[in-house]
Amino acid sequence: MRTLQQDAHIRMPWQDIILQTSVRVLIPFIQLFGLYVIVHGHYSPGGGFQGGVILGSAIILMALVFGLRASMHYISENANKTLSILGPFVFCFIGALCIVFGGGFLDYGALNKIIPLGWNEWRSFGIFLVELGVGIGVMSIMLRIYRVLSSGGTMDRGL
Amino acid sequence: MIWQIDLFLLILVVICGFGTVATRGLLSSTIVFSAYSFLMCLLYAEMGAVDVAFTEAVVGAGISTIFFIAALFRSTRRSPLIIRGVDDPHHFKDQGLKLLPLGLSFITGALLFYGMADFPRWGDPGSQPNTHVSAYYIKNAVRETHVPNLVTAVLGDYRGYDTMFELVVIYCAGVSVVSILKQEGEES
Repeated sequence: MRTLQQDAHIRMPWQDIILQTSVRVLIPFIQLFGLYVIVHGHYSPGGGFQGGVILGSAIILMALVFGLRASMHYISENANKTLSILGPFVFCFIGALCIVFGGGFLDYGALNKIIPLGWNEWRSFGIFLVELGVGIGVMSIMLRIYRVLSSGGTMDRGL
Repeated sequence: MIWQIDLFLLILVVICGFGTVATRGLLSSTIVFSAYSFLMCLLYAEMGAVDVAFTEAVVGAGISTIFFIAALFRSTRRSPLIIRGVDDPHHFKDQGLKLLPLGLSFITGALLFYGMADFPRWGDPGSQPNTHVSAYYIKNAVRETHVPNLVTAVLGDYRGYDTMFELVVIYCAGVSVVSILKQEGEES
């Protein structure tokens, strides 16, 4: 009985030129769509969580087709580590900033004192900032889980 | 809600659920499970919960399938049933014990169906959950937050704590996966 892993050794999917070319074309569009989902979450279904997963899956697709090393070239493991804590940090930081400017925790209207846009406008903009944090965090955490799972913890070779 | 489409989708969901359990190959089981997630996504979309449907499509049908397959690559392809061989006498010997879990799951299912009788009608505007806070959100959320998508307004503003700790939970999941699997001394 052959395991899937041995199958992958024989096939070497990242050497397939059709796959590589089509994925190279596809990845920018996937990333654009992910950004659109994050930014347009105010007006249509979507938001930080879904957009972050889409952004992460673009990098995962790159890792599947070009190998784990190639994806590390674009987002290194250390950068990914930093990004994955940056997401929750942005969220908490925005929340704490609201306390500093005299509101409750995550009471975005208080940020009106920094740039006076109007209380309600700031509530909209605060949601956007927070969704950005969610997107960054989810993207890098999904990517990190995939990298560890697919390399069996060694981070040197993918599937 | 169109009941014909609902019935069709629910029948497919049940078939996919049985298929996930009944399929012997773990890879095909994963693919059937992904189809199950996608059917659930269609059901949510059909009930009007588009944000939930989007999340289900992206996470349930998309990324979790990738994770399952990535985990499968690092293990064997078949379920232990095939490795041992179905004609293994040990496989059939403990068949009688499985009556207890079967009975338990039937009793649980019957209790759930019994509890379902107390649910309000789907989309009933006079039901308890729809008259409590939903009315306030629908009336005031767009005026107070200037966000046309009510779901985003509720998730990001009124229920900001929930979203924050959701993100923290995802971070904890990532950290625990890394700390379980990552091997020492091979930092890249």
